[in-house]
Amino acid sequence: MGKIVGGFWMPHDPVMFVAPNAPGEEVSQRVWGAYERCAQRLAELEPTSVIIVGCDHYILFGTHCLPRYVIGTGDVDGPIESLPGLSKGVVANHQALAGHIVAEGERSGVDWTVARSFTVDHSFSIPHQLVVQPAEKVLGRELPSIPVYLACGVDPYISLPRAAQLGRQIRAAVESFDADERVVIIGSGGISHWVGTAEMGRVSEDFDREILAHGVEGRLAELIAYSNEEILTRAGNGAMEIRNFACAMAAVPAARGEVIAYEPVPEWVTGLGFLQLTPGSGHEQSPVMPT
Amino acid sequence: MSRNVLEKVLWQLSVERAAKERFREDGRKFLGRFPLSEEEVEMVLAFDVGALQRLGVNPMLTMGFWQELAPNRSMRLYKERLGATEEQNAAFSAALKS
Repeated sequence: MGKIVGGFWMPHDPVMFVAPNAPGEEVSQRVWGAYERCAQRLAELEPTSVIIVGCDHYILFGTHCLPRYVIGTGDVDGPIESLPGLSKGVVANHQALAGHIVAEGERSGVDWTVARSFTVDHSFSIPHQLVVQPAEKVLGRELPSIPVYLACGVDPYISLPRAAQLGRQIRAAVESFDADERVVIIGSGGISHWVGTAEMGRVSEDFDREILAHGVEGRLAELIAYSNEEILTRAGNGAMEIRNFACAMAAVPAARGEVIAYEPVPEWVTGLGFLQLTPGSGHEQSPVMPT
Repeated sequence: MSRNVLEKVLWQLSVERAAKERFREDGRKFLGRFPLSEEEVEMVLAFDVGALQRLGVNPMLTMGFWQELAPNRSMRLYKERLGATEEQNAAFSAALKS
């Protein structure tokens, strides 16, 4: 029986790569250092595989097909973008576990869209290259990584409760997997940022700290209670990515969180939050699907 | 007004190399392939990202289109075209692309 041994929330801010020195050395080092700490903590969990929950930014999927949620079950490569400091290449997937998540989903009423050959974007590659790959070096072995993409950037958005349901279904699938799998799930994104709008560059520190507090206290119900209107008004279209946080948090049994770092960085147009999710022993969450 | 067609056009112009080349060669001819009104064609040719967003076009697409194809790819100018206030522009570091 496999298990989810932990999770993380972390940002995937491409501006960090385009303008690494924009916020000054101190801030920059704190943020890059936060990724390093996440990598160390990931290695300490001794995982055997990772799931990274990212989202398209209207690059991978066009008007012809806008999936609410999709999982990469086959070959994975990327990122699709060229960003200084990020390399393009093939990513080792855990095809057996990804396929099992799909099959278990079908049994429990979750119909995954699958990507059999998937090119990821920076929302997968930044956590993968800054956290998973360094953890692989510490462990001296490969950590196959499964991409899961939720509709956060392009409407129709996946609902927050549905994102949490997917997290619970991923957990159920991991727990019914027939190998002794130790899985860490990363919710990639956020927190506040306005992308391509007149407010771009604004950071909403109050909102960001509120979200992190939900993570610390394990308040999943509060996290998934925000309306789209409130998120868009208070924290921008980029903050819709808290869906990825909800998915990761729901996947970790009775999760509690610890803030690793938070930096509001207008120069990088984002409030950057890093949080570790640890399984708890308390109240279990509701079943995967309402019956 | 067709948000869907405009998004299709801007998506192609953001991600497809051949579409970008055809647009650079003759933007009006390229746009003639799509069921757009004359007003919408002018909007795209003028990089009127504010008007496009007011029609509901996703800001990620207007930004991608601007960064790929606008004659002046300054993000400060982009924000001005969106109607950003001086305060909003002052807060922006021009970190994306100058």
